[in-house]
Amino acid sequence: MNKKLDKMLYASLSPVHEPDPELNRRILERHSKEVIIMKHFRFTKTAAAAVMACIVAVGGISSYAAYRYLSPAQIAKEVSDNQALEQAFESGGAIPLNENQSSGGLDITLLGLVSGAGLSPFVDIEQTGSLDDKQTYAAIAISRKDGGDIGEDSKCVSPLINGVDFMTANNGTLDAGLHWFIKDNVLYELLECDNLEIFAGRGVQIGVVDSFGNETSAFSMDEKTGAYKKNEEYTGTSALFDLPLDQSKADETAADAYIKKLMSQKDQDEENSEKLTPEEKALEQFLSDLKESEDPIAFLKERASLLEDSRQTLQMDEEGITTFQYDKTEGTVYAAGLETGRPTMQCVTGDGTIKNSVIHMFTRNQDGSVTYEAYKLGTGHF
Amino acid sequence: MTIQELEQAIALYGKEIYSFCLHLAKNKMAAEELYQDTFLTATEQTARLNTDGNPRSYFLSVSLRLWKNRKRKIAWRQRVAPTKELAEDALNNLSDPSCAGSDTLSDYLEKEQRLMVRKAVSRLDEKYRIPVLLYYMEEMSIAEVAAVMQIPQGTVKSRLDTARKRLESELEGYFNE
Repeated sequence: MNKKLDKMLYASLSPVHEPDPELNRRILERHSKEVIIMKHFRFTKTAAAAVMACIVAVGGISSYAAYRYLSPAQIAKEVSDNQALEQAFESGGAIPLNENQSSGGLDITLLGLVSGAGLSPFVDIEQTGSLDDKQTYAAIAISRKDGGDIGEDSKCVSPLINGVDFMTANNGTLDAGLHWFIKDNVLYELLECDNLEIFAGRGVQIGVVDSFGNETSAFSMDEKTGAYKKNEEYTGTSALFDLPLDQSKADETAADAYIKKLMSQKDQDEENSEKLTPEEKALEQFLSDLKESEDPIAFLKERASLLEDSRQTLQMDEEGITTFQYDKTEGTVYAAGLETGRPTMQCVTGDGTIKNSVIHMFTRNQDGSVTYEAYKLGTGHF
Repeated sequence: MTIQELEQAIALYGKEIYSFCLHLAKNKMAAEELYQDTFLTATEQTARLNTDGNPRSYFLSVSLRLWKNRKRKIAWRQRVAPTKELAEDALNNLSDPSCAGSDTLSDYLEKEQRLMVRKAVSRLDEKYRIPVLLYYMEEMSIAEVAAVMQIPQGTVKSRLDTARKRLESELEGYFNE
């Protein structure tokens, strides 16, 4: 036997790679959930399986969630003294999730869901009987992976209904409210919106982004299935959770009527909205043409001027993100998501007119570096 | 298995199981999934972790079984619709944390040599790669490797011999230095 080879193999293959602590945390979290579900299955043999899974999980997951975060019921209690929502989250009708996603150094966890009438955190329990409209509530916890300061800003949480454009159905049009607070350096958010159960047949997701409107960049709808998915090139905070709504609560007729009402409202809003100025329209058209052009740089050279001092070679960090700064503009771009060799517009700065706009182009190079260039519009031929 | 027992098992064997999964899957994402499923499957199947037995062998055999099942599924999926090829041997791109911060020439050469060996091992057919990983990485005896792989000890010996010969030939340059 070759002793040198043996020595080399022992040295080279020695286990040196540590699993991410977050991965270990997820295992413990899932183990806790599954063990509790299994225990309850033993106690409730006579009940229907689907119902059992639902009922069991409530206590189990909520109690484990408290291991790291407040439970949805505790969040409801923190938000308001009204006990109706707190009790609903503890009832068999709640859907515990405890699903975690990571984004931009944040741990975003959808803790649980519940739908029902008279649950609004800001209505006294004595009055709830008079409120018949069902609402859906989703509890979310957000913390920093590194345990650092979570800051004071909330994140935007919005439902996304499969097959319906976000601009039509969003937290603005679904009569949503967001209650949030920070406790022990964890941001807790409680989304309240119109009853989502009726859309169970279509499928509903919940998106989390930095601020309202980011959803249109962070997520896109699959044209075939209607389901939303995360855009890989999006650089801001983004998490997208599928809601396992009870299919028996789906109401296609009510859902269609609701969407029809939203569409009609949207059409009305568009009619009433301020029209784009000719300058703004021209810029929009220009950007669209640039995006579609086969050779974006040649396209720009004919119509704009390269700001020579802007040209920079940037490097990506371990997560594929590059940071750029030019003049008064700075930002980050998820460069690993760029097509190698193809210059791509990542942002436009200016006042919305062509003459005062600057286009910021990024090209991912073969060697892994990124070339940044800024082009001033309004100087070429249109 | 209680959550405390699982936490303890992860603390004791997590690094070894994770390294094994990483070398087996050669892709970080697949390795993380395999690692997670190893512990969850093991805990599902075991009411109590028998600390008197050999928990590490047990976890490794679960990893191996899951990996073989997963590969069958991947093969099936690829027949249906070709999936994107896995990232170019993620294993080779992973830096060796034990060499982090090294700055001398000998450290550099040692790091380079380890990388070459890992690359050579990763190119071995799985039939030979698995016994090599269990024997050299997990430092198991022939009998333990045979038990985890559920093959006779003689077969383990013969596969290790073949693997060594192939590695020797691949790494010839390093032996002559």
